[in-house]
Formats: sequence, structure tokens, C-alpha cells
Amino acid sequence: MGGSTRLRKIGNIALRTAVLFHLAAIFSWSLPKPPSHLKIGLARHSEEEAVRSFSAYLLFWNELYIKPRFFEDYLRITGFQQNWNMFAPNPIREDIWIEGRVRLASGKQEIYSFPRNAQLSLWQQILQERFKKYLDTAQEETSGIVWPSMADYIARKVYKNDGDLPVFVELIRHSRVVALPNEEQVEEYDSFKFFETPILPERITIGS
Amino acid sequence: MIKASVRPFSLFSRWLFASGAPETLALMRILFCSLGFLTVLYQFPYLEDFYTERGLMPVEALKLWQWKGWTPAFINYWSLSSIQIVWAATVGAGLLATLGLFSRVSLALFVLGLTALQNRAPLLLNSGDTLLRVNLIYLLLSQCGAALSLDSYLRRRKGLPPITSVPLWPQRVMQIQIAILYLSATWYKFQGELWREGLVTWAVFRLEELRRFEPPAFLLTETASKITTWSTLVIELALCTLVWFKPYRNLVILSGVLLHVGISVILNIPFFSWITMSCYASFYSGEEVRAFLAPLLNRLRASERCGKAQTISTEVSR
Repeated sequence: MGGSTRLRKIGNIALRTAVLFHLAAIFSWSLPKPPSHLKIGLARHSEEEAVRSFSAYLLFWNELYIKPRFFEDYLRITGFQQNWNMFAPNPIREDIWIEGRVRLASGKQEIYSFPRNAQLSLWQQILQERFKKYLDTAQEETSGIVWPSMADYIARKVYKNDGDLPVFVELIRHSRVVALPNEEQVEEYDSFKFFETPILPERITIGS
Repeated sequence: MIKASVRPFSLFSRWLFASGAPETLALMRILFCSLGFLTVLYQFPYLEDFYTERGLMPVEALKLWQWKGWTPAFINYWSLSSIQIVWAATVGAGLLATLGLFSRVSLALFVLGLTALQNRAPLLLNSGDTLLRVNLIYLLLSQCGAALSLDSYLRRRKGLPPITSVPLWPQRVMQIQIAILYLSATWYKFQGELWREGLVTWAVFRLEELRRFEPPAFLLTETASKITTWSTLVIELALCTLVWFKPYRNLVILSGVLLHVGISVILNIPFFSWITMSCYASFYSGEEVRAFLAPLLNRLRASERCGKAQTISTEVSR
């Protein structure tokens, strides 16, 4: 067997192994998370419960052992990380929009509202859709760590370079749940202040 | 017993690593690169808001948000003017990759730019962005510039023979990828009460912050909600199962197209549906794509021949 033939054969085997590994990785990674009562942490105590259902056990085992041990680093580093739970298990059935109430050094108050889909033209809806996607994730409690940057951003947007610096920002979440059939639809939005922070002057001018 | 299990594996392996006509991969290059080009292009007015330290997501906040990110993460902390250069280079590379000029290099630069931008602003990403990134990486590993490209045109002009056979494993992986997507999506959905009760579109069509406009009244009834919600589940299930069987393939893909056109018209999720529908091309062979595009390609070649003939006759008359 010639050297080049042997090299080609080794290359073929390596390619086949890599492709099969990749397929196993994306399959394992895309499997849904186990039912919430079997979540990690509780899992060790509820293995018996998990075994009751084969699919729940499969998901539980995949989530706890297979994904982190074999595939997580590979998928993260290569950019193949993926998640396909669009509109699932249940879609959000709440209309949400966010605004910032900004107090200026002079005592005046300004309101900054993020783009609201319902008030935009079709063209602007497309252009500004990324703000909605950002807010969908950022307003969640698990994303609380990004709220100070959201407040800083609003302060910078409101500041008119006239020396009247924003000194305090409150983030307000307006929401309305869509009623299901046979439920009464509440038309008014519920408003809730979910974060407030003083604004440091250096945060206004950062990066400018 | 061993033989019985080895045979399906060897058949699968032969299918996965076969070679064939490059037209499907080329069509997917055009679809994904043009959509990717648009997803980057329309963000120009908001580069500062999304990708700089003055924007919504400073790098330190993302780190605290436990964003691990993927490779490459090189545009962290960059100024607006540097981000604008990355944006321009990515848009340019996307355009070249769509046209298939210097396909390998332009696609590599496009993937690099697009993934770097996605990596810098993870809170902006939807499933369409993930699907786009993943498929562009698959295309990068393929010979997707071998047909329907300026590269193949230039090759013909030089008198070189066209490339008629390429390794198909990237196309096969894209097929399996989209089937896994639908399997996962359907599985997740079966866990949800609203899906099981047929009330998903009832809720979603009423979300003013998600829909483009108010759907017609007949779509807002409970019966319509049950029909549209459950048919979504059936179509998604078919897109990971029946789509593999040729007699059902066209019907299943047509249903998927109708589903995604519906989503795209009613809901404001730009590009997601179009990116998903682009994946369906992977279920067709290069020969089928070539036959489908034949009228268009023949017309292009005829006008090319006509142009050549005109040039020759002008030179002769001189």
C-alpha cells in the first residue's frame, strides 16, 4: 500500500469518525430537558421516579451525564451549540413592553420607551425586531445581571449633552396576559417597577 | 445477528458519505448566504446599541450573565468604528459568497464575521440565527462553490471542465440537522399544555407585541386555534419522519412551506421562517435541483452565448 493511499484511508476514517461524533453530539444536545420535577439537583433523589417512564429516564440520563461529559465543550467551541424549543413547551402568552423613567440632575423626569411592535410600521417592525428579542430575555429575573447596563443605556439615550445629567433610572415592565377561552380578557396593562439604580456620571460618557 | 445490525449501518454510511451533483449545496449556499447577508445588513442603524460598550450589552455584563460563547470572540470591547468595519467586511463577504466568487475564502470570512457578531450579542439571537450559523458552517466544509457560482462560470471561461461530483456528507448532515430540529421541537411541544389543548395560536395571534397585524376573525376562533395548533404538531412531526420517504416528501415539504409562510406573514420574527424553509432544499438531490433550475440556467447560458456571438461578429466586422 502506497503512502498516499494509506494517508487517504486514515483521512477517510478520521472524517467518518468526526461526522458520526458530530451527529451524536447534535442529537444528544437537541433532546429536550427532562421534566421539571427531575431537574438536576433533585435528580439523584428521584432516579426511582425517573425510571417509571423510559423517555423521562432517557432525557434525565442525557442531561446529567451525556451532554456535559461528551459534547458540551465541543459544541460550544465550534459554534454548533443549539436549542430548538421555539414556542415550547408553552409559548409566552403575555404582552410585555419596557420603559425607563429617568430623573435628571435638574429634577426633571424623562420617559424612555423601547420600540413597541404594536406601534411600529411593518418596515420598522422588521428593523427593530432585535430590541424585542433582547427585551424578551433581558426582562426575565434570571437576566437581572444585565439590568444595570439596560439602565445605563437608557440614561445615555435620554442625555442631550446639555449638562443636565441623568442621575436615577427606574425600569418599568408593562404586561398583560392573554386570556384563554372562557377567561375574561383584562385590557389594561399591569405596570411593575423591576429595577432602580443611581447613574454614575462616568457611565454616561463611557466609550464616547 | 451481528451481520443484521452491520448492514443497516453500512447502508447508512454509504448514503452519508456518497458523492453526487453539487447543485443542491450550491443552491443552499445562495439561500443561506443571501439570508445571512440580509440579517447582518439590516442591523446597521443599531451597531452601537447592540455591539459596543455604550450599548445594551457591555462585555462584563455578558460575562456575569454566564455567557460562555463560542469561537471566535475577538470583537469584545471594540469601538463603534471597528464594529462598523467588521460589519462592512461581513456584508461584503456575504455578498461575494452568495454570488460564489472566491467561494471558500468569502464564505470563511462571512462565517467568521457573522459568528463573531452573534457571539458579541447573544441576547439578540433567535432559533433562526442558530440555524443560519450552523448551516453556514456546514456549507463552509463543503464544495458549495462548485456550481451556480461565479467561480464555476470563470472555470468554464478558462476552458476547464465543470465539477460534476462532490462529497455529499455536508448536505446529508444538513438533512439530519433539520430533522433533529423538528424532532426536538415537536418533543418539547408535546410537553406543553397549550399545545396539547390546541390553544397555542389562540394565545400567540393575540399578542400585540409579536404579531404584525390582527389576523382575520376566522383565525381567532377556538376551532381555528385547535386546527392550526394541532396541524403544526402534525406537520413538524412529518418533517422529521415522513420527509425521508420519497412518495411523501413533496407533500410534507409543501406543508412545511405553508406553515412557515403563515408564521412569517402573521408573526414578526424576520428571517426565521425563511432560514428554516431554506433547509428543505437539502432533501433534494443535485440532479433534481439542476432539473428544477434548468429553464433559468438555459436562459442564462443562451444570453451568454448570444453575448459572445455579438462580440465575435463585432470583431469580424471590424
